[in-house]
Amino acid sequence: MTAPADAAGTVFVIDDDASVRRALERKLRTAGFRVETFESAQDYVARAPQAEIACILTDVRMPGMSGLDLQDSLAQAGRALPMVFITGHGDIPTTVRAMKGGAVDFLPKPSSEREILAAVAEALQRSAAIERERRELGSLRARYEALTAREREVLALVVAGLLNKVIADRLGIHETTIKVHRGRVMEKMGAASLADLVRMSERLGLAPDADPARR
Amino acid sequence: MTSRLPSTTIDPARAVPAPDSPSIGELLAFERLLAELSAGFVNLSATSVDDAITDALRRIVGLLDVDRANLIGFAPRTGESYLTHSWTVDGFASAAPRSVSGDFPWAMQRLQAGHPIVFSRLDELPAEAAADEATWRRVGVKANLTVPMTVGGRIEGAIALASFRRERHWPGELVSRLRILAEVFGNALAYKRARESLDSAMKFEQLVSEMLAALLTTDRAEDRDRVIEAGLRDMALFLGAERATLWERIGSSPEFRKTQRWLAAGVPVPPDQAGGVAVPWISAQIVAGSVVRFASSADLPPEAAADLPALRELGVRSLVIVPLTVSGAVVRALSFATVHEERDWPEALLPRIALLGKVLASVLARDEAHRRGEEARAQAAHATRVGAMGAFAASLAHELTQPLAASLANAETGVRLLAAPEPDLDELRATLADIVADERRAGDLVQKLRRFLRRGDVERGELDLREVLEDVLQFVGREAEARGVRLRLEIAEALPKVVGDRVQLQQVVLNLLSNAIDAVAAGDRTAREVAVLAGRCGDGVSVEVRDSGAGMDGETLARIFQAFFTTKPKGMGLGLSISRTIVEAHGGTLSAHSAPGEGSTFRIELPLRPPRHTA
Repeated sequence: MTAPADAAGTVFVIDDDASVRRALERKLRTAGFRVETFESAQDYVARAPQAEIACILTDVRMPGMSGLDLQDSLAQAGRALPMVFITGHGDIPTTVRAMKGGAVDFLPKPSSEREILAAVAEALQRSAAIERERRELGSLRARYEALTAREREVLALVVAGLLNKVIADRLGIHETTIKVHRGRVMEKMGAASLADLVRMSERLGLAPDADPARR
Repeated sequence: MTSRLPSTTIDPARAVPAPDSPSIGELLAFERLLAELSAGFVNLSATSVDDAITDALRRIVGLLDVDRANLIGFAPRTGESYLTHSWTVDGFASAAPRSVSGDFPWAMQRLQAGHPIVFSRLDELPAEAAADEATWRRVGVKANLTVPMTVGGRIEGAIALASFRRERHWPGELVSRLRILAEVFGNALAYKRARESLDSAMKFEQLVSEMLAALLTTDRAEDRDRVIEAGLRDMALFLGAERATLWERIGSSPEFRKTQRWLAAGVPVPPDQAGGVAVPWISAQIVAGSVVRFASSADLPPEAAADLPALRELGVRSLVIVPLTVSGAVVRALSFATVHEERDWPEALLPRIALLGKVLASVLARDEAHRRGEEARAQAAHATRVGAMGAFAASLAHELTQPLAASLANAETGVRLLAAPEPDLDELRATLADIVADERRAGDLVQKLRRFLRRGDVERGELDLREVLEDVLQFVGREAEARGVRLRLEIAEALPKVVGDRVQLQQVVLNLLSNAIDAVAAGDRTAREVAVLAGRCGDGVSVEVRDSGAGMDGETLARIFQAFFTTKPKGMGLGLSISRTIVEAHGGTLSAHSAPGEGSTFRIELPLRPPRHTA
């Protein structure tokens, strides 16, 4: 079955219909997922559940806040999770909006178990990937924070593709010192190559600054 | 010895016995009797005519010194002779009314031919009167004088005088006086017959008007059938028919089928003639608007030969059948028949049967028109019901999808649970229980919808208003939510049940709710609420549907209940008009209150039971 040990995450099920909620809860629980249920989008927002790896399985059309409203609201609050939508009457604009908002899947109601479990598993995998990413970024940021101001200057110029000589000239220090800084940066950041360092700086969101001296 | 004056009527002092010619006193007494008979019958009712005749016979017995006087009548067609009235002196058994054709074949034949029967001794009778003689001998008659009686120019009976105690001579004078007496009797009988026919005409008209009154105050189809059958029975009994049938023409074909029938006790049920009775000639006459009547199928013209087998099969001996017309077209027929004997249907009966036919035809036509009107109304109501439901199709589909989706999810989970090496039976049990509950929920909704959308007759029953209202709210709840309209239901405690048609009342509420949702959905988001309030109201209940919409101006308000008036781009304008018709059919009222900017309130007031004879 799809019950994946590595996808051991939590599924937040939101549906206003008690029967459907119960059935989905049972299905996912017996398939090996952790499940929490919510009777409305407002309920979810109010309880603000926490889990490292999680996804949301929600009905689109519900009284009060709809599934799509919830998607928007979570995105704005920076609390986005992979979402799987279920709907009894999906129309194209709704589907497009949900998918643009990052929906993992858009399932008709009723859907087969295979489809539901596959979609949830994919959503959790995506959540796990995001989590992994988040952690990596965190450690990268920590490493970056550990650099001295001078090293950060050097890093910026190195990833901008400037030669040591040019950098030395820019910063008004000796080329040998630049080499030392550069080695330190590579080491502290754990970068294996210049290309690696460039990728890291991109992930950190450091705009390549080709001409920092002009500040 | 001829006659002796009875002391009771004639002064004995003046009575002079005379063998061959009557005495003056005898003559005077006789003249007085004649005068009294003539005058006496005039102001009598039909029943007291019988008494008067018997009394006259008593006086004749006394006056003419005989032992018995009989009045005999001849049946018009068959010639059967009946003893109708009789008076016998004390000491001899009296004679009961009966048929006497068999007892006196020779005498009755002679009398009907206009000849008197006179004999002073039994041995005066000719040889051919052997059967008659035997009867007289058995009864103890020694002498007899019988003269034919003419009524309205036809020989219709006879007056007979008999002597038991002795043989006696009948002087010519006595014979001629008896003839005069017979004439007076004849007139009296003619008068009696006229009286009877007048009485029966009045009785008939009374029957017809009673039937008409019953039909006019009867609205339910089964009651109407009962009234018609009772009417057929009364008419048949009145007319002396053994079978009365109301026929309906099959479309515009010349064939008829039975709709109502009455059979006299002991009359066999005729074989069922599905699809009409094969009597082409009679049918053609009826379709052409003519009356058909025959006392015997032998009276039918040769062209009617094809009708005979069917008549035989139905056991019809005599028949009268009249066409019933509505707006000039023959749509039905009314027939009376005998099955045990042949019977004449006098022309005089025809106007009455025709009158009955007219009454039936007009009532049935009114009924038909009423039924068509009802059908049209029901169709319009159904169409608007389906239309109203169409507006909620999406939300109903969702409402149905939920339990079905839950069931499917549970069923698949169950399959997976079973596949485990050690299935979790508790979980499985709970899963199956949920499936059952969800399927039931879906089934309930489908049933409610089907009931709501079916095209059916009005069905009155005791209704729980809460149930009625909750069902409708279930139909529209989703749609209201989707359009951001909050529905609020407030029902007073211990609301009594009302008698009414569930579907019709739900249609009214659905229609009002649908209008209310439309009204508020267009308005300000913060004030989007529709409230349904049910409570007691006098002896009945009330249901209000209040919206917080834009409201209506007086001009719109004045027209909303008119058919085909609508403010909606896609509306038919029938909803409120049909709603009001439905509520009024339940004996209630539907009113509206509204002002621009203040929303609208529609109020239904219903009695606990609708009055009879509505809807």
